[in-house]
Amino acid sequence: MQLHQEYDVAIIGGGVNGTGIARDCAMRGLKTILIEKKDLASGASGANSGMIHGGIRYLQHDANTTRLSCIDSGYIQKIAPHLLFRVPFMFPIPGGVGAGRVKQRLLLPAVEAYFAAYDKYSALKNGMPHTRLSAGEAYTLEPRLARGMIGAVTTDEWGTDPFRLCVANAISAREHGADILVHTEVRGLMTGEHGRCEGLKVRDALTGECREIRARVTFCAVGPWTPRMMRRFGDVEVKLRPGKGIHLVYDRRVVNHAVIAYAVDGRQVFIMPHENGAILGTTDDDYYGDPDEVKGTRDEVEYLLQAVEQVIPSIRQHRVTRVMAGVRPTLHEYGKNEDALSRSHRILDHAGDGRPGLLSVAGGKLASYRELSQEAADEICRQLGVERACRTHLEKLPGGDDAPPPSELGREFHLPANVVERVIYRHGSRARDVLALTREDKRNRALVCECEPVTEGELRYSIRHEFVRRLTDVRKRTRCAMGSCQGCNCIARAGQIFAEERGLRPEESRIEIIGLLQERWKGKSVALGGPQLAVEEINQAIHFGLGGMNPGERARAAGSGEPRT
Amino acid sequence: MSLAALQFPPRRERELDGVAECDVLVIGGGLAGAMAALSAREQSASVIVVRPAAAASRMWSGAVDVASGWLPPPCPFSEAPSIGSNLRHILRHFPWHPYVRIGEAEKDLPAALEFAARELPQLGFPAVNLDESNGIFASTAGGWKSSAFAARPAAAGDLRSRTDSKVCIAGFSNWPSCDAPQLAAMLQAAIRAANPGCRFEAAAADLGEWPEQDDPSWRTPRYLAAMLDANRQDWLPRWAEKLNAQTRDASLLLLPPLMGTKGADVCEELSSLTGKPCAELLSRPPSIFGERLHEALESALESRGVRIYRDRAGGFLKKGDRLEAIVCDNGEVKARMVVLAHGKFASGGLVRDSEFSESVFNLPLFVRGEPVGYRLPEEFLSPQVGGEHLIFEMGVKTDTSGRPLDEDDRVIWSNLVACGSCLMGYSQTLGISGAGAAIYSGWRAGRIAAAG
Repeated sequence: MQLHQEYDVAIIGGGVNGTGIARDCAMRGLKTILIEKKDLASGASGANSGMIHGGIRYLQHDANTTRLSCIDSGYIQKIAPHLLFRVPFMFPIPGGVGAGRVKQRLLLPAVEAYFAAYDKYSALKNGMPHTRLSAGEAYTLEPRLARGMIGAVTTDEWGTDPFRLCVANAISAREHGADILVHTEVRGLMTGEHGRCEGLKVRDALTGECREIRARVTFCAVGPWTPRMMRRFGDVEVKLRPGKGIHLVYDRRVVNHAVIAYAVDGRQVFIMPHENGAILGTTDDDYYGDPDEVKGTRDEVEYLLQAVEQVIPSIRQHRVTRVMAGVRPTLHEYGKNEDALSRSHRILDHAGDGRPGLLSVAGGKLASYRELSQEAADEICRQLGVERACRTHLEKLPGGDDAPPPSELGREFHLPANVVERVIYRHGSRARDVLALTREDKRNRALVCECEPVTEGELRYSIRHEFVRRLTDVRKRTRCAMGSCQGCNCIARAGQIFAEERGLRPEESRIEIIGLLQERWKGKSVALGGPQLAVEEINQAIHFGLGGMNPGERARAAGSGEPRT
Repeated sequence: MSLAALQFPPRRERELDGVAECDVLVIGGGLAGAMAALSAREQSASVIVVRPAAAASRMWSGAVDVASGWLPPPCPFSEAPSIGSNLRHILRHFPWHPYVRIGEAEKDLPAALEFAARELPQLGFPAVNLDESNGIFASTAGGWKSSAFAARPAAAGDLRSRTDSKVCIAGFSNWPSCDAPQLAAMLQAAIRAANPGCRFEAAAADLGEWPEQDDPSWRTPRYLAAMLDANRQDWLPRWAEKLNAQTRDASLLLLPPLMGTKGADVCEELSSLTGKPCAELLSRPPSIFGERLHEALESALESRGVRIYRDRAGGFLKKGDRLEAIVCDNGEVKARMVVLAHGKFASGGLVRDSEFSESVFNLPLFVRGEPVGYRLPEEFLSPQVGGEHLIFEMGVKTDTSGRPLDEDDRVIWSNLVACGSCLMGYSQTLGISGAGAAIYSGWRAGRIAAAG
């Protein structure tokens, strides 16, 4: 990629905040570049509940965050309507036994009052007001609920595909002139007079090529990596209180609505339908390890299952396909429980630390990424002396314009509605561009991933237009290999398509395929059991028994002696 | 085309209702179970097979591994060890493998393989010479796989002697499960890597679009193969013409594994039309080879007078150390001897909910001789996806006649014999034995059961 001599702003980090800031800056006419060491949405932006929610959970500790999130979530809904889906929440109230029965009866109005308080915020994002359900109604809506409920209260939230949200922001930034460099790591900052940060030294992680990027302002939006990066490159201390959160991913929609449950320590967790599956989460524990190496544990899995078992007793019979783990970049506070920590954010100017020109952000959450980006871009503009107003809440994200109905596109391209519907969900009004590839080549009509479902055409579109540099990047943009088979049926074919698009040699494409298999394995191996074990046995047999990934090597490793002829 | 025009094999299973009786009951109808049933039947026992659905054998690639995967890369095919020396290596270094635990594999394997070839004539299993090296077969997963032999018509695709010639992989432009250009590139690279300096070439040939289907990849291979059966007079000459035009200098044509439900006749006809050997590639699931295997097993069972019940074995009645009857969802089967052939995880023979267990008798499970007990899955997993996952070697430990043992090496049920992938040491993913071990252990279990 041909880079500019000098940028107004360089943004480090390709999560939702980094891409959001890049979009905002580019829209205000700044010469913008974004650098991400892996793929977009590789950190916390890709390992969350996928909720653009106001955080009814935070209402107890942090009402201002709830309010801001709700306002911003309303904006996100307007700029990316295709990426958002309604997630009605249900809070079932168990009847209790003995003296507990009276207490539970009193609990129902109390819960209702709490949800009523949330209605005020919920309306800011077009959420429906709460309703109170009788036990009968609750069971009709959610037949898997535990017996003995006396009723339930509902509220309304919005879900999203956080990967697509990041990609959409990055595409928008590019269309406004920004340069986006993925798989490019920062090797150091360039320092001018008086410690002024004048840009970055970066290295392309795939080719090894090093470059210098001059920028008048450098903004670091790397979430939980912030303290390490700022200490290493800027000699600046930033304190966070990173919190690890895990989610269990299910192969199907175990529930019709999000259902709230209480964990053994009184924390709220929920199980909710998400894409073609369901996710159950989350935990929140102080994390002191390397954010690159975060991985769920069986204890955490057990903690979540035990919680949800109280309201969905059959939960252990369902198939957990994987466990995803991420680290929140929570603001630092001493002496509080993890849950009680503020979910707000703070833009940090390191001029006071002797590094003028260097900014970073601490805290933040998915639902308020746009608001955070606006604040960041305001500060960047102020430092650059640019006076341009933010327009990210007014202009639609790519694909956010009215999309044609699935039935119409289905007829036009002779594809079933369930396939077209997913293309529209992921690409919005640009769905037609994706589907147009089916006219270019009939193969593009073939389904590569039956779980989600993803066609060859969508994979090729993504590889060509959506900052894909590794095979594993395709997964986040299309959900190929993220569904119930976890790549058992689609990874080899996806690898061939990627190889063809990029002109890779067979050895290179083998590395890509094993890379994606390994990435999936990291999440699968934590909760392997039940029916998923059957899928995995087949998966291993296909890829390593038949697939010729490394014929002979495994058997040799398994034997105690050297092979003899 | 209407579905009615397509020929599908008849269903040969029946429903259990009440109590059935036999000499030998086989739980599981995959390759190992069917071999056990047929070999017991050969000894004149009356036999019932109970199975809930088609087994994992239906995902068969088309190749039979007897003792393979032992080719250390880079080892030229011409210097590859014989099947027999691979087998002796397994016998020496894998003490937990069924070949070692059960009977005398080195002596009996040829008889077991010969029996399978005889009972499943449709598949065209060749006679196996343990002094020869493994065959080398290309697959739709890319690259090559070394196996003792393959079913017809994949057998003709053996690449051992073709390392200095040119082969052609053909594909349909709208059936990307066999992407000929990609597969050709992968095969050429893999064969050349294993045989430094060889002049192997793999090219792609385009058969055009699969006829009469907008989206053939949305259909199962069995459906497409049945379409081909119904249209072969029209289609084969057209395909042969295309192949002749594109593959003049190739010595072998490798075709997508869709060539009819029967297996050999379509490739033979193409072969006579093109004047070149034609073979199918080995297949990923869903595979036509698996369908053909399933059909061959069921028709062999039927023709030998084995009753097949579609049911799930879920428990047992006992007297002392003997199993009296097996309790299924819809009735009971009383049998003198019971053969356990219900597979590993993929077929539901072994399960893990809160702990690992065997699904009918709660037999204790073992990995490499060690009891599994309450250990967690992660203890048997490697951090590398392609690494050594002992979990898939888990299974039932047996005495030398195949009777399951407890932790103290005592026989648990005097009239129960296990075979196939539920056995400890049998791993589909390790890639050293595969279907060969299923045939061997099943064949042997049937004989023991008939005699016992």
